[in-house]
Amino acid sequence: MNNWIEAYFVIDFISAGLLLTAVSMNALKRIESCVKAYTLNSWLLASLIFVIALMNGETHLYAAAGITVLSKGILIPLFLGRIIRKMRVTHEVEPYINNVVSLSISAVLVAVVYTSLSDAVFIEGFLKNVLQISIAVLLIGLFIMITRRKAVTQVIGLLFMENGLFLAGFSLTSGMPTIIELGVLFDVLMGVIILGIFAVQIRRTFASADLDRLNTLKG
Amino acid sequence: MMMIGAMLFIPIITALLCFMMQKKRAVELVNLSGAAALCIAAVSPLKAALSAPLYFMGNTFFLDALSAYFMGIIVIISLLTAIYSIDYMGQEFREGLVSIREIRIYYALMHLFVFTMLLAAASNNIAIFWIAIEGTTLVSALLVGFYKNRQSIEAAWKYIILCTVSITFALLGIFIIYYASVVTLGGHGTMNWTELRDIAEKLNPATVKLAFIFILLGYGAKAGIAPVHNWLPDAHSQAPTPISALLSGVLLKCAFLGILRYVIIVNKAAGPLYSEHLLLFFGLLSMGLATAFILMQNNYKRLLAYSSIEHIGIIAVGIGIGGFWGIYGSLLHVLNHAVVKTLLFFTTGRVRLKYHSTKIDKVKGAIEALPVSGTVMLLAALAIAGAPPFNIFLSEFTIMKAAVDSGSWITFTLFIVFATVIFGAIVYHFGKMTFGKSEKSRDIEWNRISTYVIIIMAVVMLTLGIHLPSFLDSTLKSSVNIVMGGR
Repeated sequence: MNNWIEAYFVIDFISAGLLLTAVSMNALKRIESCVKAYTLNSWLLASLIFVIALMNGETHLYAAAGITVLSKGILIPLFLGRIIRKMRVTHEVEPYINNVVSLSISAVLVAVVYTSLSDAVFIEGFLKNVLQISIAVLLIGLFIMITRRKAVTQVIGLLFMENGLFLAGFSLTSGMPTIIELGVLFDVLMGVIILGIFAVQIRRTFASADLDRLNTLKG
Repeated sequence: MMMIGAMLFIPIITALLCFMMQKKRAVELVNLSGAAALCIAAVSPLKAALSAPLYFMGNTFFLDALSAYFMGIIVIISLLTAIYSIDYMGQEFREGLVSIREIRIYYALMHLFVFTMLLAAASNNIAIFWIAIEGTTLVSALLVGFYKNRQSIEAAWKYIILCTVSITFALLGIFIIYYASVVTLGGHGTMNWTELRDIAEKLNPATVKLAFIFILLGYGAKAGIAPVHNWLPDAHSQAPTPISALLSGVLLKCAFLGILRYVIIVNKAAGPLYSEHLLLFFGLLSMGLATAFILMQNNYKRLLAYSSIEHIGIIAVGIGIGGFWGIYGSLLHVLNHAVVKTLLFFTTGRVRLKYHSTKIDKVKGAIEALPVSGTVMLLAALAIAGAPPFNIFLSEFTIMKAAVDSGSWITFTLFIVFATVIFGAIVYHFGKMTFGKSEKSRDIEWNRISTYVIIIMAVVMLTLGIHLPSFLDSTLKSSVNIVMGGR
């Protein structure tokens, strides 16, 4: 099994997929597609954990993969879909900058991460690429948060950051203790639910889902 | 030690009961007895922790003098807030601003908030600390958005997004520290702070330094250190006043405890200069930035929020100066600021209920309209500005003495300049609010329970400025010992 994984660069393929789904966020025009990109990203993350579990033969990693699929792959996308329907937003993402600029900036981000982590990085072995990709996903998530106008897209950007962070966690430590993972995932779930509640309230009180209306508090 | 478990358990039970009660009286009674029970349950473990660290559930939770000190502050301030809330929320209820359902939710969330802070202070496992701090964000965001109007929802959204994003980086820092421990120990490494401290000298210094940057960013945002403080003025000004007191008085300190734990590790791994320079820089930046915003502020709740940023800056500067007296002054400042800022929020809360505005221009003659609260508000404003003989003066003086002793003249000069300007600004703003002719009718305040809370706190504020009780002194000394790398 291990030979098969190494021979076909399975880990590299999956992590490239993770990066691509994150980059695709820059080009997607509809909020529903963004949720789909996030779902795909989460399933890829879970399968990466699963493959690492196969390689290392550690049982708690199987559990981690299962929990990740359940929470990030199924529950959170369902919840986001519900919120989007409830808010009845226009389905366009309406970024502050156009797609071409957005994509080029993402490309620059990835390049910066790769060059800066290539020699200074202290981690060795097959997971080195994964660390670079995880930091890239984290930064792209942050970039999406900054440049998108809708409340829900900001939440999706945050979720991409969390996925990147989980990936970084796995590449650095090859698995935290299960109880810690559960706790962190619980926080993520709760955070998404509370942000969803506030997103609906923003929609209701401001009669808009655009975050640039949030400008009453200054100084 | 089961008592630590009891301390964590009581707030959860109280929160559940508060939510289940149907009558306002019953909710208030549960709230009060829960807070009092927590106080009583806290006495023996906190006392025991001063002499030797206590462990609970293996190594997952622990109490040493440092966390006992912070937990003591959390417990006391939360009891005072619980008492004060009864008056404050009661009046909002009578005025029809909140419904009985919202009262239930308010008290339930308040006790959950206290629980998350206690969990953070008691956790030995650095990841559980992170989970607890993220938990404080989630619970208190619901409290910040409590009034569900435009401003409060905006504040809550900003709060939760900014703190979650920055704390994500703190988790990255935790992963890196964990990685460093795996390299040193082999096998599975450790996430327990006590074990990390014991092996800190053997950790790779470069890795630990990198992790510290991320952790300073993450927990620093939560503690309100500039330039990642932007959520703080909004959240403090929009939350219900008792919650503002909790946010400013204890939550910021909890997050700072997180930074402090890593300062200990990074000092052992890479020498003290690294963390000291970072904390000095960001501490002074916080002070300077707060100075500018306090000067031109027209909203007294936002003014108090910026003053919190200033005082977190002072605490960071104290740790940054280092040495016994720097750390001692800084830790003493944690308590003093908690007392005085809570008192200020309590008194300005009364002013807000009276004048129905948080604008400084709209408030005149507070002493005339509210004889007790107005007077105490002026005294507390003098105290927060750093006037003797109040407690804040004592701790700020200790920190400045440490600065002079260590010969850091630039820090000393900037500290004096900022503190002086802020003194002038705060006295000017609060003078305008307290003196003059009031258009409002005069209140007899003696029939309210919160008046007595305010007076007791004012007495504490004055006493701590003149005399430091010996048990506090010994707690501080053992805490300083822990921060300096001892056990």
